[in-house]
Amino acid sequence: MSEIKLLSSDQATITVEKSVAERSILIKNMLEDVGEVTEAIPIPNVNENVLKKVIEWCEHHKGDPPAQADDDSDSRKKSSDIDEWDQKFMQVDQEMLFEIILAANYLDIKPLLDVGCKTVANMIKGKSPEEIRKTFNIQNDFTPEEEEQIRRENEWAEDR
Amino acid sequence: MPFLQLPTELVLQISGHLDPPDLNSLIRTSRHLAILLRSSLIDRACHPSYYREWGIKAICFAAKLEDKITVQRILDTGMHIQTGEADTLLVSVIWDTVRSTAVRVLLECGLKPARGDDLALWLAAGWGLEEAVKLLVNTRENIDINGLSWYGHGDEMPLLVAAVNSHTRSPEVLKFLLNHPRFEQERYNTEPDYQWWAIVHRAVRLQKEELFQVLLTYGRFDVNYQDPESGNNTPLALAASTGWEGGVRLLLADSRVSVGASNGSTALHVAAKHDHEGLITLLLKDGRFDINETDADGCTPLLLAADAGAVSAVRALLEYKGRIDVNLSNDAGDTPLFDAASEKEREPEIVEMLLARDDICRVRLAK
Repeated sequence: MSEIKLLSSDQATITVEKSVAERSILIKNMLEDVGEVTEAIPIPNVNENVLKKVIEWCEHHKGDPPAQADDDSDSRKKSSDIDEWDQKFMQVDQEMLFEIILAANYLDIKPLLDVGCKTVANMIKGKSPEEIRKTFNIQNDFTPEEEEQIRRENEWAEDR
Repeated sequence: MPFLQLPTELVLQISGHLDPPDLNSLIRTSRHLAILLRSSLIDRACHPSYYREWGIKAICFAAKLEDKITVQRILDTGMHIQTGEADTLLVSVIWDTVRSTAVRVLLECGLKPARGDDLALWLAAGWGLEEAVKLLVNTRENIDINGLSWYGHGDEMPLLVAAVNSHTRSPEVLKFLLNHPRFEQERYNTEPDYQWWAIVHRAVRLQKEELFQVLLTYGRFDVNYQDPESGNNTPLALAASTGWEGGVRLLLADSRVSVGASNGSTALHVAAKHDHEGLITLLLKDGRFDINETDADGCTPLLLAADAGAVSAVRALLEYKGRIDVNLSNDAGDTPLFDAASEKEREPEIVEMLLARDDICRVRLAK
């Protein structure tokens, strides 16, 4: 079983099974391009903590069938469907959650990116604008007039 | 890293997992997110899995505000056709907005004719949306202005009845339909499904004077029809029993209306029995009613009023001193005084009024 090394942005070297690392399309393409590598592959945008977390996810999902072509109409409705392991995996602080999403985006690991985005979406669901501001520490920078205008503009989407 | 510093593409991807109301809440948190996501809300509502609920709401809302750009944008998605809502889109919009202007906006944005247009017209007529009715009839060649439609549950109702039932008192919709070249009046006099609705009687019950006048002026409905659903009464008898003076006045002014007895009684008998004093005066002023006329049972209006304990009616009738015969008995031999005195729930006032007359006969005469 072949292994490769990854070098995090904070210069930590992590050894990982090649097939696990290849959940990242970025790494997979890179390996295909350069063939055998012995030195660590630099992942300049991801620090050790986050990279380990991402690898943990890849380890768990290494046996997954390849992602199906995005079935748009369905995937949107079922945004709350996150498998149990992933739900637990995503129980991290917001900082880490966003870092994972960024890393998944950079490393091109679509299923992980999806789980991350769904997790954030679930944090928004059912909340009022004020509650969302609190959750994500967003500053309300509207003037009262603007705030009222945008509320009225989208009034139809208010009540459920 | 704060949420707001996530790259735009990732925020968009996250918002792609939100229902329209959640997306709306997110948009309303801050300027940055409003600018970024504002335009995606309509797109989201027009997504196939949301259109039935949110797309329709969005289009109704935009139509209400006469926001043609948004209406056009939603129609252009073709989602109403794809989701099978095209047939009833107009119905939904009328139902939701109750505005003619909303209908105009949809038609101006090129909403194609659909099967539900007849129902849309029916609703528009029922709500008295004059402009919407005219627009639909004038622009939809195949729209049926003579058909029967349904309202919730219950019987199918002709469009004209919906217009008469209309929530408004404005007669414009009714006028427009009656005078339309495609309107087939004969049906209302001959076809059972239409006759059953007894449109003139219906208008009498609703007591909307302007509407009623339009129906009478139109001149082709049977104004002497004895409607089985109204106890075989004519419109005049029905108006008299409900005490609707405005309607009685209009009917008396119509030369086609017969003032003779229907169902054995004249309008005067009915008014007396139901204690409508104003109506009694109105009818007697007309000159065609005989104050002493007897009904099918031989009762005069006074006797009926005395029998019913109708104090005001008795007083009104007794005003006609020279004309009234207070002693006329019915087929059973009862006089007004006898009836007033023997009624279980007798009105002493009636007895007193009758006894005060110097022409009253105090004994019961055998017939």
